Amino acid sequence: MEAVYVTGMGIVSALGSDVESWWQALCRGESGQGPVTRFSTDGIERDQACEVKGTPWEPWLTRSERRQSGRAAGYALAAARQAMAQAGFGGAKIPAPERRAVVVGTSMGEGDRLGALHRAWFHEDAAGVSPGAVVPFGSVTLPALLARAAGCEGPIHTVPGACAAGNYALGLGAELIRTGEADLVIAGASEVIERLQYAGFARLGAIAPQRCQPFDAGRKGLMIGEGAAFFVLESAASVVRRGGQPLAQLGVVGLTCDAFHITRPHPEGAGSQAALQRALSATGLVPEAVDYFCAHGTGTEANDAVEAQVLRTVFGTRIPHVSSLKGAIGHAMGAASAIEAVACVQALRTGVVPGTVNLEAIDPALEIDVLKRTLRQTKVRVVLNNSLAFGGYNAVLPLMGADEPAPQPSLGSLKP
Amino acid sequence: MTAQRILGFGVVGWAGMRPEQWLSDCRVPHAPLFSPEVAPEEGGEPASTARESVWPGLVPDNEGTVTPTPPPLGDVRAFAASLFTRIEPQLLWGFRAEPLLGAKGLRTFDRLTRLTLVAVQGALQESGLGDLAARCPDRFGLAWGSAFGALESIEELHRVAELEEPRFINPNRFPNTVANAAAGQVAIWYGVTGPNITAVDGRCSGASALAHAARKLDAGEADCMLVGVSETLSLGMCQALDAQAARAEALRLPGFPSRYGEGSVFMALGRAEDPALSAAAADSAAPTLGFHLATALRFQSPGDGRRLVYPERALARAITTALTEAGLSPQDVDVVLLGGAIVEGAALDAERRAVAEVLGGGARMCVPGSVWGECFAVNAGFNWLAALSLFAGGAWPTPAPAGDGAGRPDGFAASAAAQRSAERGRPDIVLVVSTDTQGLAAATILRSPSAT
Repeated sequence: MEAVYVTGMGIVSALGSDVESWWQALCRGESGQGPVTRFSTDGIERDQACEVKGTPWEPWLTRSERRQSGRAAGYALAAARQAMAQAGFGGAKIPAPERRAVVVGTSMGEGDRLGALHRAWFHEDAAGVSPGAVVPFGSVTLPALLARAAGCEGPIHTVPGACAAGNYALGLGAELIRTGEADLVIAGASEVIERLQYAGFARLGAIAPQRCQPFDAGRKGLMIGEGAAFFVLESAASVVRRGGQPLAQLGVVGLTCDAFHITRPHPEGAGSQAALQRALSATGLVPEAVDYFCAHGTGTEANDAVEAQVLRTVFGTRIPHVSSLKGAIGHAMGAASAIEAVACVQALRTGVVPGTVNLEAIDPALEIDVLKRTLRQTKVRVVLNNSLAFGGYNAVLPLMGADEPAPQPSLGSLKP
Repeated sequence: MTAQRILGFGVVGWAGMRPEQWLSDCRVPHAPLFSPEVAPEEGGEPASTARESVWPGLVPDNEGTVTPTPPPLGDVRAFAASLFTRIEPQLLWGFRAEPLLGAKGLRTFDRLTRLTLVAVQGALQESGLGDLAARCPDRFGLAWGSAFGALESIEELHRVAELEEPRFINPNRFPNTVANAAAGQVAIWYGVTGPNITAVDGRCSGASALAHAARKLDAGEADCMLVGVSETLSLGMCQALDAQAARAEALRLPGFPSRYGEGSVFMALGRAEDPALSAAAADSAAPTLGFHLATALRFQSPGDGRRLVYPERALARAITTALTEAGLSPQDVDVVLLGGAIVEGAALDAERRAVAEVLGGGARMCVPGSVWGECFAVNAGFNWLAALSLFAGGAWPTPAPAGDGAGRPDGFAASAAAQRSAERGRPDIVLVVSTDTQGLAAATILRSPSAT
């Protein structure tokens, strides 16, 4: 199987908007949670979230981009430009424009812009609807802005895989390289907090009243977050040709669908387990090889129970280190697994595994061990980044150290 | 990448398009689609009518001549038509899925999901793969595209949050606001547990879905992918389109679309040589409808400070790439189905020029979308349908007009391939193209099952 390398990454998050400061804050066990400032929470009965503070993305955008971008695009451009800078993008040996692609994950895209349009329409009738209103929702907006920034002329895709969208984007981006359709892919995900989304999760009873406590006996739900993370993915040939510095490798994403319930995971985690096993086998890994499992870990009763069950089933008594980042950065929905992939790469590079912020007493019913505090100086060669989503979407992404040999996959077949 | 076999097709469209009649004429198997059970809502007129003359753009008259005139609108514009002064939305507002899917379990679904469920049902029924999907659910996946996705549901709940209170948001309707909700509901309804991918890439969403599906089949991650597109428009979107049309009128921009439509189209796609799929299809006597040979997407930047572009260069590159992947030369293409929904205008001219650049001036280009209006992502789906219809011996679609009159060749000038097809009465190779004004372009190559 052809290796796919990560050669750059960037982030915009409630906990920091550059990889190094974000990572240090994460490992210190800080949380980006605070009161919602972006909109009124009157009538919602919840008022906490992990918002991106200030406008840290703006310095990364041109004046023209600032004019054209909503927050989702702003986050995405800032994260992608960080990734491109780290990858040493722009040299003469960078793959030709037609060999560069973009894959973007998101759940709602420019949801806040859509909300603004609807508010104008509801309150001002047709006069409030701008003739240019269609353009910002054009679903190609996000990848098009990134493709322009990166000079990409190859395929561009948006994959709205709900809360698994980040893993979808990274996995499908790697696929474009493996199939020979691209040599370099800008892949990642972006999400903004929007009032409707926030209220909807609150109405589902999914938002914790005070804080998110993944895998805790007293967990009461998730904390909505936002942000973006983007990566430069490259073929081995491209890395060698231009002397790039690989940070990590991507395996084959395992995609399945629960086909059980639109919001609840399968009670036995059948789909999640199948995705995990598909990711392992397609990448050519065995469970024993996994050192760190970056859990979806939303802090909801159902999600954490299902993930624990899947871990017990797949790994038996040899469960790898497990932690959830959502106590620190919230649940950034479509961007969640992309942001968490940054931590996975950092764990592979540094041998440091971040702990689970707000985890005080592990729920004994889960029968797994979960890292409360950051674990330093451990050996991390293989990481699994897990995600579950509305629609029953499951996406599991393996990441390996940059120096690990490329594994050989084994594929399934139809046996009626 | 290897070819994929198209084993079944399902479609829901504006009743005025009369896809049943068209498909019947063309001998393509089809499900009972958008049927007379369709009932009006809130006092509107029936959305399904028995008009006999609404498909002239694709049906030849007694002389065998294709009439290029778009059909009358039919009665479907009764939907909120008075709200719009410049556009005529042909929305499937009164569509009822109950007669086809049963009454149970549909209550919380939005129109997008209902249309999609019915189109998938058609594809599964016609492919004869329903039983196999039930026995091997993990080997069946789904790749689905939509330009605007869950817009209507988002609007519905925004309305509640804004004009009432957020606490009145129905938690059972909230999941509809996520773009992949329809794909997730399809998986639940039909028990499909393999890879499930939603693509939201504007008018190129269908091509994206096809490309994702082909990769999954090629990688062995699934043995059958249900591939499709769906679109529903919201009232707010229609308002915005109406406002756009007003601006276009003020600026005297020609060819701005005024007719907008909705629908859903699905295909069952399997690896060409898969023995289990072949056996299942043979058991149910489901014919192979065609082959998907290649799909390629390319991007073209609008340039500094600009938002929109007609991606002519990107389309030319996408066509070239798709031809190379399919192992074909430009002369092999018999007919090109353009993605635009209007017969005049800069977008369609750009498509024509890109096609002519790669295939030569004699390429035979058609604009089936002139019949059904602008359906965004579903434009490509209806063009897939048109291609399969042509493979089955259906009438040639509406020719593209000559263009801007600047000396470019007529769309009906005969190339050698077109001449061959005309002699045989049906094409072997059809190229379907799509473009989005944000810079994305796509080319899909489909092959007739009878082609050698």
